[in-house]
Amino acid sequence: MSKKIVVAEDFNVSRKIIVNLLSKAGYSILEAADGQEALQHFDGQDLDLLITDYNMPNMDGAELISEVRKNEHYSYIPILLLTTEVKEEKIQKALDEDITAWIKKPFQADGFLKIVNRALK
Amino acid sequence: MDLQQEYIVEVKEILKNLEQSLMELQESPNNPEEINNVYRYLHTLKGSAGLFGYEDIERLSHEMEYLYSDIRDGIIDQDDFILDLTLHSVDVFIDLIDGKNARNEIEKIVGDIQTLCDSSQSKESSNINQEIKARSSSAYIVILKPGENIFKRGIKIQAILEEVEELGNSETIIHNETVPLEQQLADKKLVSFFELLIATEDEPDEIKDIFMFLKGDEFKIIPIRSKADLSIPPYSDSIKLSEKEIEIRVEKFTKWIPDLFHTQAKKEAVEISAELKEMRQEEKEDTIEIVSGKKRKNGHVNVSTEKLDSLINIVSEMVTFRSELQHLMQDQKNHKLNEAIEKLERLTLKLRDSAFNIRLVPLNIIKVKLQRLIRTISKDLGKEVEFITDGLDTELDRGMINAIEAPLMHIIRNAIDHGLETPEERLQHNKEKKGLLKFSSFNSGDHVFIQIQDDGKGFDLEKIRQKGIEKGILNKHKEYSDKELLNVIFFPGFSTAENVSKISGRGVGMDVVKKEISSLRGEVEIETEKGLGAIFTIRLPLTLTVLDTLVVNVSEQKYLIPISEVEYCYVAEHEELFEKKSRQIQFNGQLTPFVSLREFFGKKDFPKNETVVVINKNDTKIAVVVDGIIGKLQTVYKPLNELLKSVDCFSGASILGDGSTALLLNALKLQN
Repeated sequence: MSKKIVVAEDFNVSRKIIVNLLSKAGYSILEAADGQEALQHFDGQDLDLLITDYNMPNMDGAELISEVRKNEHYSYIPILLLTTEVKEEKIQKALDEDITAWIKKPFQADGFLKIVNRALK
Repeated sequence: MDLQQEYIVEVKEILKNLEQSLMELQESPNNPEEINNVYRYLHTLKGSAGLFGYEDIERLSHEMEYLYSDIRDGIIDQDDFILDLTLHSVDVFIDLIDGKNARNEIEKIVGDIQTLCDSSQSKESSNINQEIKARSSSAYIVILKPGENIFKRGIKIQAILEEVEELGNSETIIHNETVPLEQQLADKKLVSFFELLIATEDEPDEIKDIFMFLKGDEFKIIPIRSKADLSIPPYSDSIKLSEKEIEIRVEKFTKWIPDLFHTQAKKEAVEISAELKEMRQEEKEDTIEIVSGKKRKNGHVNVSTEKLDSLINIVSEMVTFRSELQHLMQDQKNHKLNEAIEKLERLTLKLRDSAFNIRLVPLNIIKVKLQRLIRTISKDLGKEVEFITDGLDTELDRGMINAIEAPLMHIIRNAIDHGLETPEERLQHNKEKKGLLKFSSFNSGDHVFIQIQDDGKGFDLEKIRQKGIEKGILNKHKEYSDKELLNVIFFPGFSTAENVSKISGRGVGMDVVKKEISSLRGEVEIETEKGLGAIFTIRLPLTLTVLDTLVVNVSEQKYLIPISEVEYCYVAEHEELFEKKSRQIQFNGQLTPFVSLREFFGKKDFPKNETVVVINKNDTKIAVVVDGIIGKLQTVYKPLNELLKSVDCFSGASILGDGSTALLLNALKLQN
């Protein structure tokens, strides 16, 4: 069974690119345009990875991550956080406690896949 | 060329590149690209040295490579000391490849490197974000101490451990296993930490990738080069081992070591043979290129200078032969033959031009040498020098560049020693602290100009005058132009420096510089402004051996005058010329001295009508009076043999089309 990845990104083009990339690599994707939408996927089903943007409407990445971690079922799921700018140290440190890695945008396709593959190991 | 010779040529090429990169590093220290280049050159050097049995080269390059991998990884900063050390090692490499013994030097350098690396180890341990050290060695110990939040971060520690296992040769020590690891993993509560010994053929980066999600203080990768490395605990603040734990490690890992280094040696052998294969492949491609005549971008063929010289010789003889043919043809009226010979003439000229072009190389090839010289001298003298270059893509005959090197170095030495002031002096005179030294070159006509300019204190003409009088070169009562005064510098035994220093005063004077440049049919000239600096201008002919000349005669004997020097020719009556006692003519309203060759050689029977050839060589004019002008001729010029070298009014000889010989006049010398 192919691994299931939740991709949360409000910017359509970016999300399509990521989804394309990951589908080609053989993963199943659950798409979401914001944090709230993404959270709906965390309904108890088996998920393998969350890739989320930081800045999103309705519910941003940080909130989404803390909600996901609250759910016992997903306490240990790998999370990759997409970001464009360097965050304030306090925010960064807090997030560091909960996520697997930061991915800086823009990224190269092969580098991105490498990180995703490793997170799914 | 046999393989060994080829190897030597190759190594010299690498060393040249290495030196160049080092010079770039001097300009911009810690330039990652250049550091990487240096590392790569050292690596190539090491790889091939073993194959050809140059153990010393292998050893030295191996150590240097270590050093540069540390520099590349930011563990050690590339500083002036390291630059000196590396430059010195380049010299040692050259000695070694020339078959000299340099054991002592190697030991000294190796000692220095070890001191450098050792002192960096302590610095390194405080460095939290360490990187994997990309060693040539492929054995590593990884200390892995994940933080408590490791599970919450979505990182699977068991996946990491498994992946390490998959690498092949690996051994894991679990420290502090108070609770069984499986239990810890199930409880998501990690108390243990790990030591992984990995012997791998993977690139260091791939090992690092395994630990990609861990933070800098959670793991440390230590390359293991020898058994001794096992007992050092170079860990960061967050990862510490007790003595007992180290003991466990040494005991457990030591068993592995023989195996491990076996693998490594094998790996290096594979690497080298792959490199060699690549080299051979490239060679093959080059050969193909020649055979098929296909043009490839930047395709180069290395040709030995002997082969080139022989080509040039043949071409030169062809030029002579063409003259001979032309000479024979003068009496013929066969138009078709004439046409054919004209065609031959065009082709020979083309052939000549291409052949000489092969020998032309850009002046750039001596830049690195000069940079090194400047670096050494300025350090010795405590002066700061900014070296700028311009137009070094100007091409010159290879032989010419070789010959001009020593004089150039001498001029530069002098400029730094006597021209440029110390930083303190410069500041006092409102100058930039760093002295400026400019090395530039440009083409003009069939000449190449090379200039060396400094913004130092310039020449003190008054001092030169006094010294010239003192030395008996100048006449106390005579007025001298600035140019004449400066020319005194080129007299044997003249030196203006009060204290003969180690740098410039080594007995080789500017007279030798002048002599060497003259022997290339070149000229050297100085311009100066007191307090502002000086410019040395060297003018060189493009090629050494072919020359357009004017053929003149005195009775049967023919002489050649370089056409570039001839300003004007006219016929004058003998009576009129020799009317006055002083041998001077009026030319363009100027009194110009003349020398009658007939008179010079002690012959009599002057013709009624004499031919005057006015020669202008670098603004110095002299007229030569001969019997007549025979014509223009492109000649192949050969230096005179030892017997005639002392006769300085002739700078060479040439065989003419009719088989007779003619001497090349160096008119300015006729006067003395």
